[in-house]
Amino acid sequence: MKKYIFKRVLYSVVAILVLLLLLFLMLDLMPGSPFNDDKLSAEQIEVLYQKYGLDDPFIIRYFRYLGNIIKGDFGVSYNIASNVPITDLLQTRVPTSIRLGGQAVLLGASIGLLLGLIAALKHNTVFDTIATIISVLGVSLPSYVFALALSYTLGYRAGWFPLLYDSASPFISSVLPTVALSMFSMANIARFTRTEMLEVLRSDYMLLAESKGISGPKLIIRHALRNALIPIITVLGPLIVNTMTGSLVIEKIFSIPGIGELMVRSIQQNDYNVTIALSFIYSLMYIGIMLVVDILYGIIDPRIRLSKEDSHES
Amino acid sequence: MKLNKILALILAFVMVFSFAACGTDEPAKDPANPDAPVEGDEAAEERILNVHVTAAIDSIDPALTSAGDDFEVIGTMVEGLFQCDAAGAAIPGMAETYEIDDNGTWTFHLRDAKWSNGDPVTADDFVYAWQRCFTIPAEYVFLFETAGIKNAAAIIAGEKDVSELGVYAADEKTLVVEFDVPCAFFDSLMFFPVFYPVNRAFAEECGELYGSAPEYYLSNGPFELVEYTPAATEFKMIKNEDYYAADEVALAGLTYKVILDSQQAYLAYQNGELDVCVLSSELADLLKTDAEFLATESGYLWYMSPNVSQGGAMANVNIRKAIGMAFNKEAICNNILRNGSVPADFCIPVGLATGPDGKDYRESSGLLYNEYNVEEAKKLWDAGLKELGVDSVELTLIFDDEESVKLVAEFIQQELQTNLAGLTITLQPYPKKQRSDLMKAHDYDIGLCRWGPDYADPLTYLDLWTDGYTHNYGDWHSDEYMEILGKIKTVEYAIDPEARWELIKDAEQIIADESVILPVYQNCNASLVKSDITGIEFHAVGLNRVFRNVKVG
Repeated sequence: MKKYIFKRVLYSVVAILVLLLLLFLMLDLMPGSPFNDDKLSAEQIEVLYQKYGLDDPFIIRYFRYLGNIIKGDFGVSYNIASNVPITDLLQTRVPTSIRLGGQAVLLGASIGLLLGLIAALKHNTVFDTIATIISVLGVSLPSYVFALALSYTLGYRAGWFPLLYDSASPFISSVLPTVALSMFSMANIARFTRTEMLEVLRSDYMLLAESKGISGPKLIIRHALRNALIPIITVLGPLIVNTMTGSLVIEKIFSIPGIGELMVRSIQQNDYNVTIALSFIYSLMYIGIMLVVDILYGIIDPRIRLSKEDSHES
Repeated sequence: MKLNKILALILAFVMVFSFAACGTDEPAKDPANPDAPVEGDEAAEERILNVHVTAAIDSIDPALTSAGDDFEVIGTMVEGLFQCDAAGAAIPGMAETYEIDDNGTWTFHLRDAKWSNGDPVTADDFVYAWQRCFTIPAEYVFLFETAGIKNAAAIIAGEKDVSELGVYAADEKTLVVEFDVPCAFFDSLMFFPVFYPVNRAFAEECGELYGSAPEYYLSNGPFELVEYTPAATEFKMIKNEDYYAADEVALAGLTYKVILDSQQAYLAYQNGELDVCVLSSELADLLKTDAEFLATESGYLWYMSPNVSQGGAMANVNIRKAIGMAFNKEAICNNILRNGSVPADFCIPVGLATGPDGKDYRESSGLLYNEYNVEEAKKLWDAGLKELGVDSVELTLIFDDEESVKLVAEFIQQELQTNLAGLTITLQPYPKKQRSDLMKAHDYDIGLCRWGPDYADPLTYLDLWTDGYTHNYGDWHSDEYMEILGKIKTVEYAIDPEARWELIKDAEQIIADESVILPVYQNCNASLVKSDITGIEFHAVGLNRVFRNVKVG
């Protein structure tokens, strides 16, 4: 297991280096520059290029950037927040996105799991249909529809929640965005849970367990749900990353200072350092979560742990 | 199945409402409640104004910004030598008095003002701030050249050192500004952030961090920063008690909220989370009869620029005029844009500059050209075709690849092709940057574009059509025009504003006679402002909104 994790981490580091190189290359090939104000003269742009070392050859910039990253320096923003170090820029934004995403995933996963379970256990009843319809709606309706509907009903009509994110009261002002953001993961988890549970419930070992006299919650949780969880965790991994790294639309609607909106703006405005730093964080989170998911597999299903160790020892 | 669907909806609502119930148990402060009573007069003193901005702020460092919203935010915190009154005219700010000597040198006597850390505002703070714009370099550093400040042009060109800039501190409270060429609108230039003072000792200590957080920023204006992070979606200011005119500031503070989604901003306004809300054109159209609706001119002029340098049809003045007159500008404003924008039959917008007669330039000029007139356009068109010896013309119209611009371009295409026989217009959208590069390279037929003013004087537009100017897209040239513009910038006219104003009118007449640009419309900004708030000053140029004199109740 240790060897396996070590190998995975090593691969991840290589993947990140290659990714940074590709990003550098792509941004280099992109038309335009960070300094695209109509009113800047050619001489001024030249001075700015020199100031930020953007006139150096590509490969020098790449290695200089790598060196700086190791020291924890992601450079400064060129135009989104002129001259502000990226670390300062992201300091409050990354935690905001992660917290909001975390809340949404937690809410989505628990409700989704519950809905899926109800649907599977009450298969072919009206509960099943209702749960299925909710999950179909959740998957097919984009999150901004929920965001607008929630804003209008609970925010504007009922006046229970603020419509805009406010860092002074982060919980109450994040209720609407959390619910809107959780819909997609909730629906996905509900669908998967239902399908997997139905399959597990029909299996022979469930029949065996039942005939051995196990019943009630123990049967469902220990025997059915545990087996059904493996595929669910597989979809949960990417869902967590996607939700945590922020939803552009939700952030835009509720005016949340997160990283989703920043990412899009940095690409549009050619603010290279911001784009690269965010991609870096994004990749780190993705690789990290996938690692956790792999380890979780082993805990839930000892067979996976064994077979993986086998394959790596051979 | 139908029953199931209804059940599902009910279940969904129960679920959503149960979260809601959890939420209200929280001891957190009550969000804006629509039923809450409007704050009374006692509360008015404590009123914090919640203001909507539609784009994030790039920077609050006066030397680092180029966006209008940034200017406004800086202007609420820092004050320059002059400030602008409600009509946009210059009134004394940090400069209590000033005199101009025979050489055109201005000597300013600064008032007894303080920075928010208690330091006095000194003449050296201006010297430092102005020189800093050259070393950074500020995007708006060209304004120093426009102002004609001694050696500014040479420093920008790299021929002289920044220490030779014509600005000196004679003593702690006396600032002397020397000129290469005196500038007739120097006072109104002074409310642009690049000319604002920066506390030297403080800024040098902050270094690159200046302006990145409240502890790295000082104000000498009506409000001071208390909460801010770069690219924030929300930031707060409170009244600056050290401001010399603090008694006149009625607001306890300002909270800026960056909201990109206009629908949400409107709901938040309705909910009482915002006091000032900027409207998109769809919302403006819906709400234009609302009692709290307000349309204010922005200085942006949208126009079509014919590429005169290319020869052929675009070099023919009759053809240019015919095209300029053959589309319904009113319909563009009322049916497409619907945000209060006004048809433009002029090349210098309304509300840009106040003349020596105290009237808006547009009012005292009265010149209108290329007004919508299909009959006249047809006559000119036929005359033009005859002069060219052709019976059909094909042109490509280039424009920015944005929804509203595209709609305007499509409408113009349809109108022109219907009204002018033999004209074929091909539409070609480009990303803004590319469109602008093509036009700067004079590589196009006709382009739809806009220009926002850099300062409150007609010259910010008239300069556009001078030889070699980057934005003289069509590379149009006239000796007579160059001569007039040369004169406008001389010393004798700088000190004789009435005569200068007449020259400006002559210059505009030439642009009109030659149809150098074909104006389309002047942009308007639509806002909602709570009925108990008065005194927000809206400006077409420089500082979009000024909150210093806002009154509550």
